[in-house]
Amino acid sequence: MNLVENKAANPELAKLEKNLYDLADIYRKHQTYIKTKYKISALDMEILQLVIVEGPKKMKEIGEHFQVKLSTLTSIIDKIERKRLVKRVNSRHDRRVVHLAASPKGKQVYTDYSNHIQLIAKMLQTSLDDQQLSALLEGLDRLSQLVNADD
Amino acid sequence: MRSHAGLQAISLALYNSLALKAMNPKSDIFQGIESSFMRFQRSIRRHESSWQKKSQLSLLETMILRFIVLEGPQKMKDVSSKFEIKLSTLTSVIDKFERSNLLIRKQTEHDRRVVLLHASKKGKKLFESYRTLLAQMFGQLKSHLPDKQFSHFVEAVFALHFAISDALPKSDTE
Repeated sequence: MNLVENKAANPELAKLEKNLYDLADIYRKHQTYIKTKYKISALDMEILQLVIVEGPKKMKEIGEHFQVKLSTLTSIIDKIERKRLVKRVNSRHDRRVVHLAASPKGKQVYTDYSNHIQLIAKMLQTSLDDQQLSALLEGLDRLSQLVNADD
Repeated sequence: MRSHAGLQAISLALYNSLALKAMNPKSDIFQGIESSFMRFQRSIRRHESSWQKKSQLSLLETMILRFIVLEGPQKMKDVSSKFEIKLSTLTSVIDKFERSNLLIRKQTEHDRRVVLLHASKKGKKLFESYRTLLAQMFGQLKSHLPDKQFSHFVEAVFALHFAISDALPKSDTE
């Protein structure tokens, strides 16, 4: 099926494809915004978010969460530690165990970023009704399952 | 789509916003957004990684190829302005495309100073294979969701795009 036939046969699928491409494109710009404003990558921000929201984490746990190799993660963490956004701390229960925690500066950066996200959340809340929000959740979940199955 | 901190954070903000939850009956739905987006962002990362192994193209490169295949021959300047990337960055992307025989630089007949980027047969075929992959995935998605819910999903993705776009400073979107 060529491009024209594909579009003609499934106009709604073609629309979804376009909308997801547009979403991917604007998300790329959002990532640029993070990089420009906070001088860190979107993945760095995700790591910061994880240790703030869920509390200090072991490197192994973070690696598993983001499906990143420990060797790769170590250099990422070294970089954001040098920016004084996170710190490695020994566990109180077992000093051999090292956890990654957010620094006060890291918390400040994330709080500022959260305000931006809050704005997006409010816009989304205004523009979508309950059914559309439910459909968004269900659709994203199904799509995630299909992507993982294809992997 | 290397990382999706934004999508995760959007859901998290929705979930964590106690004020919003107290004021709005939609809070139950917001609770689900967090976990949903977290799974979705990880899946997208896996998807890009998987596609990159097959095609050697990043998502941005795939989007550039898509733009040229669907919209026809383009000037470098128009592509760089569409994707808001520097001409110098785009030049190295296009060089890579040319080395892989996915795109061709051609002078126009009317003005030989003007160079347009054309998709090659190989480029069109590669994009078509990606589109087929997506079409299969979307077809499966459609079969899993009731018609009305699927339509709502398509609209909601559009709304999410606009919410993220509107929140960006003007210089990041223009």
